[in-house]
Amino acid sequence: MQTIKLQSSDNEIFECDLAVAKCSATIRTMLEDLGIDENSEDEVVPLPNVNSAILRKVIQFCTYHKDDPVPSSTDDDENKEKRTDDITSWDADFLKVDQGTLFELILAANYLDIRSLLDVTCKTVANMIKGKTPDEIRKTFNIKNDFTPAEEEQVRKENTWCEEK
Amino acid sequence: MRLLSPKNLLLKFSISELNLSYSKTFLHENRLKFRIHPKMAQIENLPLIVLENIFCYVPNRLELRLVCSTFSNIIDNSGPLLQKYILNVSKISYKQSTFQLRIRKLMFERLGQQEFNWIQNYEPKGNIIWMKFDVGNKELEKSAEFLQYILSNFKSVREFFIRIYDADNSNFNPIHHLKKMISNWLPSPYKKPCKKLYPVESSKLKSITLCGMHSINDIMNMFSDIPTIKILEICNHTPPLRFPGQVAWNLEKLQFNYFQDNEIECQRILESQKPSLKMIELFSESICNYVMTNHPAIENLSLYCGVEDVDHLDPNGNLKSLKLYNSEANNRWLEHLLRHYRFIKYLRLDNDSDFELKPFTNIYFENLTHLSLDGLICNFLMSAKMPNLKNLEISCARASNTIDFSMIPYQNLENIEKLSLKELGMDQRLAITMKCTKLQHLNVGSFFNVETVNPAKIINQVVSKAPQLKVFGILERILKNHDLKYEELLSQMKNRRLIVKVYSRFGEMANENWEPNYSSTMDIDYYEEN
Repeated sequence: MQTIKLQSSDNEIFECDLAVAKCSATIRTMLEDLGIDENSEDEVVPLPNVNSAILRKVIQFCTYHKDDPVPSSTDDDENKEKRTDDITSWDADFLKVDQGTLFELILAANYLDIRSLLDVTCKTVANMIKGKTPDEIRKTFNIKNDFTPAEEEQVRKENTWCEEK
Repeated sequence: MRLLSPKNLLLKFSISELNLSYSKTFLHENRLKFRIHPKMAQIENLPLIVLENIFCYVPNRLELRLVCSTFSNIIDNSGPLLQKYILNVSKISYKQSTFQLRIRKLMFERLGQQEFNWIQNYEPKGNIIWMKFDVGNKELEKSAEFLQYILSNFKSVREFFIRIYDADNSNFNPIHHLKKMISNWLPSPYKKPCKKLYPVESSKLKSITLCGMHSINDIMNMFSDIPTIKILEICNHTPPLRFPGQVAWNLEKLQFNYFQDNEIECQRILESQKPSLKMIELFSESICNYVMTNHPAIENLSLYCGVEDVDHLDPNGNLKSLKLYNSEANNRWLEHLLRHYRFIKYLRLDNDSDFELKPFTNIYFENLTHLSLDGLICNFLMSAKMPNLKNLEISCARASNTIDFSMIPYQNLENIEKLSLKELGMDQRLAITMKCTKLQHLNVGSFFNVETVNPAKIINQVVSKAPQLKVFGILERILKNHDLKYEELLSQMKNRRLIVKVYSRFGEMANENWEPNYSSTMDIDYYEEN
């Protein structure tokens, strides 16, 4: 099994399966750009935007999903209805984390360009939003309401028609 | 129990303040070496692309918009990724995005190759409920092909706006395409081109706007048996109008432009209607009297004619909005009218007559929140008391240097949140703007006197000194006239929203080799100014 060393922002080194690391498009590109191949045993890939706790979770996710088929990105897929009820039970358990960790995972998925992780984390956040009132959404994410009552009314007035069936 | 040290207390306090709910396990795993990333830990500070990705999965965008201004701005400005309800293809086509969207409203201001390419590449089909074609003959080169494509793919449209100027273009026959389009809107038994449409309860078509077509009477006739139509707007028609004898419409809004010669036709259509009209635009005093007598629910009245006996207007006091255009009013009549309507919420007056008007200092508009003035009347009407005014538009080409803002009571400007100033001298613009201490949205400039606006001066004297200001709108032509680059303007906005209005009257863009080069952070509104 070919392995590769990944270095987190807090300088922890993770040795992981090359196939697992290549779930990340960013790492794939870095390997190509830095000229690192399977024979470069001592090379370390620095990941300054991901700390060790998050990188550990990312590796765990990629290890579980490394044999998954690569999702297509055709126009037909883009036009499919966006669903959030198709999260597998393993992914759901994996993402039973606090909000801070969830957002860090999203940022890591975005930085490392791991589409499957980004999709499932975004869906998880979307599920935390769906069905909630604006006030409930604010409470869930500790967001300050910076609208004046007049502005809020204006937004409501301008957009209510959009919800017409 | 172990007491927390001051250091620990501080850490605990910081975590609480930032609402970082890191679990004990997480903290243990990190041996408390984690970095506190307040920005990262807050959802609204996630990168734009990530938030857009999340929002894609949330169908109810109104709830999202109402959460906070950050969310609202993302949905407003992020382009095709999100369900951008009002989609101006001319605008979006410059923001090319690979993401999907569910458009509900679609507007075409040009029908050129670029728009055609855009709709083929990005429009996911089927969700549009509102469609507007607003194109001039210079943009018609792709219209037939474009409409053909629309006909094949969009069957959910319920509001339809078509304004095609100079429609005798030999390559384009609107009535031919309209027939096909209408047939697509109807359920299958009726789904075939027909000369006369049959009553169809399940039609979704609610609104038609017909402009500038030689075949306008035939087209109206085609629509006559669709009972779901509630809004009829006709403007810039070429031939004399002939309304269909019988119509199934239950109109709530009826609007004609330039209808002076069609009083009888107007009367005919009104007589066919139940008393359900809420909004009407009229050119004739006699028709106005008829409407006010027979349609007591009218809330929104626009008049292009003088009305002698205002006491007969609005006998039930339902009117909320009154617009008077080109009214050659004298002081007595105007004062009488304004006293009569002192409880309305929206007032627009165009008056550039040479009558010597006197200030209306003794009139009190209790509920007026939106005032739009054009002409010399600015000087006189603004002296009336209107303490709840929030939105003020002033356009005054002739009086650009004669408006005396010292006559305006301070209370009138005290609560203004949105101010649009057109056709005013620079000093007038600055004088009134500086008096509006709660101003949040400022628009400056019109097509006709770009040279009178000095954007640098406005920014230096107003925008930079008004911390409460959130939106600044300016005409693109003004920037060009002063050779001011968008980037320079943006850099001075200090996180305010910038709206650059692009004048898009037909032919303008083609004549000027118009090539926009916009920053993605800018909101660009297209509008037409007559």
